[in-house]
Amino acid sequence: MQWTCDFMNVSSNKIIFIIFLGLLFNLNFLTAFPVKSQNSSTNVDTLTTQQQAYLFVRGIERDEQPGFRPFYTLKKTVLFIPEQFSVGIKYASGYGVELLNNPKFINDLEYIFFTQDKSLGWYPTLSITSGLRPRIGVNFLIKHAPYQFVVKAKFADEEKYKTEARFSYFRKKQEKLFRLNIELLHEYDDDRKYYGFGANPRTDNRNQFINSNTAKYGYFFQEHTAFKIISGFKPVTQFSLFYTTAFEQRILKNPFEGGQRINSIFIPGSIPGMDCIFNHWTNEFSVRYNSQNENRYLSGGTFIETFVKISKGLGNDNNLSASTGITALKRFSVLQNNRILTPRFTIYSIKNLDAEHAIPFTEYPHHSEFRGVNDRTFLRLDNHLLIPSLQYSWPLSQNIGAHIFTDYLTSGYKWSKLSFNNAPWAAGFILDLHSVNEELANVKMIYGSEGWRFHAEIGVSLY
Amino acid sequence: MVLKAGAFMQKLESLYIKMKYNIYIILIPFIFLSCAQQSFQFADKEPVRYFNDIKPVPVPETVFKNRFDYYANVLPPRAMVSSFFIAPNNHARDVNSWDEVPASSWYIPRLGYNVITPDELVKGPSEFGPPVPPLVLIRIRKPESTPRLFIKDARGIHYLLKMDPREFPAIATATSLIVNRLFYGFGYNVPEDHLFYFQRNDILIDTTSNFNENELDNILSRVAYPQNGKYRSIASRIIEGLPMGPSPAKGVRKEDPNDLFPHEERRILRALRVFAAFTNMSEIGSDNLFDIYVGELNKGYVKHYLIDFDDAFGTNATRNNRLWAGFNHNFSMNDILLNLLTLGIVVQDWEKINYTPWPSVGSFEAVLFKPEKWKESHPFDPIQYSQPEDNYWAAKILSSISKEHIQALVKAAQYPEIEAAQYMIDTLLKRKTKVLQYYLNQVTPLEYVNMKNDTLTCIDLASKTLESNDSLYYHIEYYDSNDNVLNNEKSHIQVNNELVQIPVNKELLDKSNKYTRINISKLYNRELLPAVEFHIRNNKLVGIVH
Repeated sequence: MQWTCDFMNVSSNKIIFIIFLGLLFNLNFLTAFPVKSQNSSTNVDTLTTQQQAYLFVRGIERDEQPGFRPFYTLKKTVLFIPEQFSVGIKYASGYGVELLNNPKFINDLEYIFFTQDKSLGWYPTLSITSGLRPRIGVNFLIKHAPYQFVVKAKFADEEKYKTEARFSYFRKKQEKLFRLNIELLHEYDDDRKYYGFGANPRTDNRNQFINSNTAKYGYFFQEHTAFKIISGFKPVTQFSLFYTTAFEQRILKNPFEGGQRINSIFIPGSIPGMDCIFNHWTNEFSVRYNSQNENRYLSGGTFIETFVKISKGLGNDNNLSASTGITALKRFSVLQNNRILTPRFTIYSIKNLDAEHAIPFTEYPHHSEFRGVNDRTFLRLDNHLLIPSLQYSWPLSQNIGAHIFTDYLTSGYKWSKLSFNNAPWAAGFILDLHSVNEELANVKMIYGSEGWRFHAEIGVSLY
Repeated sequence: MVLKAGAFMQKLESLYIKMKYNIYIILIPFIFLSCAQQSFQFADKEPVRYFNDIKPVPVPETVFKNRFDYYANVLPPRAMVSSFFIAPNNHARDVNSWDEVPASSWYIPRLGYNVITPDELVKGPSEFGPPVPPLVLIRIRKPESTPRLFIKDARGIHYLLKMDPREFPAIATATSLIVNRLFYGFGYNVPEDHLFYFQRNDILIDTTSNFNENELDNILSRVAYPQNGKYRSIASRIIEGLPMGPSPAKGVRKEDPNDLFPHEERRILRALRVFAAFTNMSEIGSDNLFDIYVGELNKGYVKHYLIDFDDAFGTNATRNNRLWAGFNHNFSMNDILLNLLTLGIVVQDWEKINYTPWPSVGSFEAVLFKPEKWKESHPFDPIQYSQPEDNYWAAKILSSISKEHIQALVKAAQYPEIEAAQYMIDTLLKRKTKVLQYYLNQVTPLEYVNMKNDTLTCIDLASKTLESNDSLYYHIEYYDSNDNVLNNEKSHIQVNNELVQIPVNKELLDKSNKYTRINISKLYNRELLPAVEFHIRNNKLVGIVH
């Protein structure tokens, strides 16, 4: 690549040549000439320079010279710029890590984000996903034991934002824990994707595509409001019980603009729940078993969680459905107790309890564990979902972890229809920054049947 | 200015055109034109034993006036990663003609130069003794895992009390005492630390302070439980003088005219590589170098101390579950890349460490310890710049520590468990042996004894210290003052004990114009070690270079 400094009328080749000569001269030629002591018996009281002091203490008349090293000179000169660039990057990242590991800096940072007694605080969040607009956010926290109040907000643009508020009450008696959360959620976005029902939506007769349009998915708009009460009880260390009751309202329709709107891909009115407002009351009961050490970020253990949920439409929405699911994973320690191999499978199932009324598509189980697509995509909807996954995690340093994984997603109208033929798959690599037991930031690079995906998230979890 | 720059560049361009085809003809001679390697030439004078750097100077500015100074001046050097960093091959500048460090405001020769009995080592810098109750509490350093109390005793002497964490009783206090005395023996200026037991009602709150009895009780509830009603602590006497703050790890303290050698080129600081490896003082850094202005204002001088030893012996690793302390830098791109590319399959040594059954010892061990691979948590310039001869000098001093010294220090530390004390003695001895085994054999470890009857007599320190019975083989070369080789044939000698005698005959001295350099290289593990140079002038030893 040629470039010139016009006002000097000198080409890049010549500039590089001049820089090369300069480096060659400065780095090594100047050391090729011997330094002789002018006076090796200088009285110590008259020493004013480093060189004088050195010659006096060393007791020398002539200093040592290492001589000229031609290949070392050449190597240093040729690699000077790449070396400085590499050192600069490592220096910047090293400085960042020094800051994070420095108690003084953490204290100063806490002064910015928290009051001294940590009863009031805030922190920013950032989420970047390929194919979506970046979302910046802020979380506020007010804490006065045993109560806590958190407000979270995320914003991408005036048509994509999310706010949550959560009030918590927490009680602990010996090993027993009880927690009550009251949550309010409002989100508003128009970049959700819908692919249709079944493993092959184009051939599944539950989907009615507009023939002239061959696109695989359409965007839809959702305004979602929810009010939830969640109670959790931990009678013993490894077992937890949860009960959730929630009222939710969703408004689903065509997005305001864009070529690939859902009503231009699917025949309007053919998607259950689309272009309407529906209200639901759900009740969910779940049980969790977790034997992982909560004070260590990477450690072995078993995790099993199962739930049962009943969802009933309210007012003019007369649908009734029951869903259930189970997530099971086992963290095996390989070689060392912080090299973890985790096979996991997740099963979801839904049953329509009122055959006369279709279940809105947003009520179908969502494959949030499948990492081949972002969480705004409804890739495979069906009565049954199976998401097997295998992940290997290991530490890179005290605060940085690495993970490689592969996920599959299968769905079917019946259990017997589940198949891995043409099932979406994804494989990826994750780097995360974590504290002793919590993730603070992560970067994901994923490739799969749905293409490349990049995701970065920053948001210190301080509570 | 633009026009002048343009004219200058035009001239360079015409030079480039002229040189373009002759560049190789011009460069090749430069590349192969060698300024010949040149050795030292020593003057005929006695080695400097004492360097007077305590001349009266004005009070220098205190460094790190505010937090910004700390982030701008202390942290950036720590972030230096050593992946591509290769220290320049610079000899230390504070060494004399016999390759020793003269006494100064940094260093007082003790072990290795004077006989220090175990009792003297245990006594260490003690001058005023431990605090005398009642103790008036003046200030509490910001409550941390191991809070520190500033107190004044009944004699009006100020001390800093440091206690142990609750989970690891005695770990910090025992470590502080032993390592303080070790570094005293190595020659550093250290504060006067004492193992001190006190009762809760020995402490009175100063009326001018802004805390109360409840706050003190709250702090004491976080430290190790009292034994027999007494809290265990290290009482560190506050050094009298004007605190100047940490000493810079690189360069000099600009406002101190006595500070004439860049700190990264001081052997006394470079030697910390060996001493810190021996004691696993992984958090060594500029925070441990403390300068105090002593004497009357503008008539005093800056004295340099080494402080804060309670992170040694893996204490920091134990308390914070950072078992890699001493094995890796806190941030090492090389290690991250290695772990990334090998998917964590390579299990590092520190991952195999187990905690000992004694909380006062924690994870301190000698089995996995490799002195050549020891690393400080934050790259520290003097350690990064250390050369084999600096490490050899430090190992030489370390070799003067005997089993009796270590036993006396461990006994003085009063470990709560007898087995813990014995374990510490064994571990320290093993670590010492490993350090000496490695660092005494990085250069030819010959020490001058005398020169009589045309014979230069030396002692092989490695062989003597490590009690080796192997035959020792040395390769010898003779040079004159212009670095011309004097002996036509390569000479070598073989000895069966640590005493090595090198012939230096009159003919050689005449041939060399009265200045002879004798290079002696030891054969070790089938390789010749870097030579030690003995410079002889007028039949007298005038210089030694390792």
